[in-house]
Amino acid sequence: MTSSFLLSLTTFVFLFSAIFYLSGTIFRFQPLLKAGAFAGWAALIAQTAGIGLRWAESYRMGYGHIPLADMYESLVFASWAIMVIYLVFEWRIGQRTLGVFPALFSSLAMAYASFSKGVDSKIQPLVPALKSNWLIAHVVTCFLGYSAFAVSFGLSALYLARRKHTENPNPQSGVLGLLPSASQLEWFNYQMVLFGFLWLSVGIITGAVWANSAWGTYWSWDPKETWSLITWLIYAAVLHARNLKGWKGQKTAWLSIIGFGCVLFTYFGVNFLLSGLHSYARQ
Amino acid sequence: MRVTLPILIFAKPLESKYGMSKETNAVFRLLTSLKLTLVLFLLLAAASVLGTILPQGANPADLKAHFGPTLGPLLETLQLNDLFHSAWFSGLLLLLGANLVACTLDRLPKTVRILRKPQAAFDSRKLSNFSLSRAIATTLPFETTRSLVESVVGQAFGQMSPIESDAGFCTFHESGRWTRLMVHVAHLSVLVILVGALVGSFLGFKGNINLGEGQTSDTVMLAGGKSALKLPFSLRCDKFTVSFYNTGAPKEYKSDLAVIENGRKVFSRSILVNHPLTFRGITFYQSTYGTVLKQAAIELTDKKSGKKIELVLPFQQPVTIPGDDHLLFIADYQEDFMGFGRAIELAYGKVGQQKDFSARWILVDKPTFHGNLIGNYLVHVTRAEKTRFTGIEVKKDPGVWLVWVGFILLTVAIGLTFYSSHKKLWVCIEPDEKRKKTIVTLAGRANRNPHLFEEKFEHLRATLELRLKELPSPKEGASDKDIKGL
Repeated sequence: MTSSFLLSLTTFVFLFSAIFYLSGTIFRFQPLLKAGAFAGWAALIAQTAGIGLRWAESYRMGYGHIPLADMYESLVFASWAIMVIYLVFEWRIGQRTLGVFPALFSSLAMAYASFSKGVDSKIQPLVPALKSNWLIAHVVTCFLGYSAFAVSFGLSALYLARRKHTENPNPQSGVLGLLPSASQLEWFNYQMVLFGFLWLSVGIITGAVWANSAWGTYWSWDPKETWSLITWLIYAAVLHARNLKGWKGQKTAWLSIIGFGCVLFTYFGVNFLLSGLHSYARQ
Repeated sequence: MRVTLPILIFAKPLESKYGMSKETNAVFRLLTSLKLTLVLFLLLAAASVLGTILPQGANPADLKAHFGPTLGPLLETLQLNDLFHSAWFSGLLLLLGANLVACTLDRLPKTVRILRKPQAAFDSRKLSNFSLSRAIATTLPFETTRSLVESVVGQAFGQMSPIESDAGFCTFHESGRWTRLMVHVAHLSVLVILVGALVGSFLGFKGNINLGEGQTSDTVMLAGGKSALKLPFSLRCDKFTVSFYNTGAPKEYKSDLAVIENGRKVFSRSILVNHPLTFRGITFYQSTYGTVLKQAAIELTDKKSGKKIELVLPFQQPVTIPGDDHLLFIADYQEDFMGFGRAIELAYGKVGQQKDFSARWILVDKPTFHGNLIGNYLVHVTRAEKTRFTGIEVKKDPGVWLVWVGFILLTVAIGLTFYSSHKKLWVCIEPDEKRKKTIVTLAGRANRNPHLFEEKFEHLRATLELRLKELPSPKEGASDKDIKGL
């Protein structure tokens, strides 16, 4: 069994997890939520094994490197990181109703990696620019940031949905009945944005230090760099806006959603629509 | 009364603090406002989006061709074709810097006062006003309760210090006061980064050297291609190699370089992508490679006499034509000149009159082309020898260490700002003579992550309640239920 086959299987396990979470939330049925978490953990373990296997395969091919070097490998890692962050978060807060979006995102990332014609799952050797110890630090930190923002997107969407139904006279009933209160969701989102912001900052910084040793400049307004800065500015705005009374709540939730849009553009849009130095990700 | 009040008392009106006029004060207030920060964040983000969509570095003609005669020049006037280096974008960054400075000036003194402030006079009755406040009543005698509480609280929160109180025994714990400074450190680190970038752009330079194998040069073409800079030493490329994987993808670009100073080789080293060489504060990066003409052999035919002359011209080095007072040199070479294949640009002129040289493109792959002539000669290129060159990025940035310091401070400060807090915990133990009970009051506050602190606080309360119940009470069966929120 090859690593890419095992990894493509996780697409479906993540999808089941998302379906369990969604139906558990809608029907307010705890065992389904438990099944969602179980499927999530199972997919994560399989994925971890898949990543390890791919790493070993690359060494057998004679140009071993950590699987974080192209579009396929970054999608797998993004999917993995989203679920790790979500499941740890779920375990910490003891609430299982927030898993729909993270599981769905993990599944979509794996589906795109495994089944899109534009993404090559073949293990490629490292081109000279990527041969650096900064590769691990830069990719891991950036994707921890991106993944936290993916979870934050889900929390913001649920917050906005929950806000709309605050007038509900019986908050324990209805489709959103099991969800945490709006103020709790707002707090969770703030925590997630904080976590993502810290990692994105470290990701941008490690990228700058790396660029300085590879290209002789720590900042060159390359589209990828610029878009990561745009993302950073939006989330910096979220964190500062929270201290302004009028911006707390809905506005910060919308800003987080816009921020995640920027993450997606930084990740995909820049590769396909704009040209720049960061072209390894295009294959 | 909330205990947060002392902070407000110390925030005196700005006029008296800085001796400002009303107008300056209004400007200062605007600069310190969080709304300005938000507007700047969003403006910078929007401008950056534009900068990635519009072609950066496009010249006016391109802009006109692309965006039409009205929009093209407008984009140029607004400097949108070089947005990130435009005056208005720098202005936005400067304003953000001013915003940071103003906020720090405004808020840092308040923080420093909190840091230095001795504990305010303590009143145990105020504890119940805290949002995080719990009371536990026990039938245990005062002294037993006190020693138990001290040990449990000490285990959970560490060092406690007793405080003077009007009734009973009170003790206090404080930690992380310094964490209040971290938000300022985060802000100042952004300034440090901006200053480092400024230092680099004013005192540093960036350019490139192209060196063929065996070639030596001390001239750096500066970025933009308009001017050159002489280094205090020379660089020689001894060898350049490219290796490939079996997939065809490039594996390694390597230049073996030697540093030459006063005609002597100081040292030699290879550079790879990601492994530059630094000498006297100037860093050399493996950046690109290509092929360049090394020399060309030509055959000149005198149009009048039909006499043939054979010459070997090294690239860009003048050679005198034998029996003539004219010079020839190859000024340029193109792999594909306007679709006609290889071509060399020959310059021709009288010795000592370099300014009046004329130049012509000679087509290598079309030897019968009627335009292959210069001066009185028909030109036939018999051989064009090429060599590989390595493209080396050259950079000096005296501000880079400031940027690194800023990066480290920013990372540490963001982490500490959000994941540490200034925590305070008060514990008072008072005998309630009337009801023959001992009342333990807990109160606490954290300036950040109140939820986390609350968890710890609740855990402490639960443990304390449990431990107090475990001890045998002096009167059997008289143990009462706890009173909450006195």
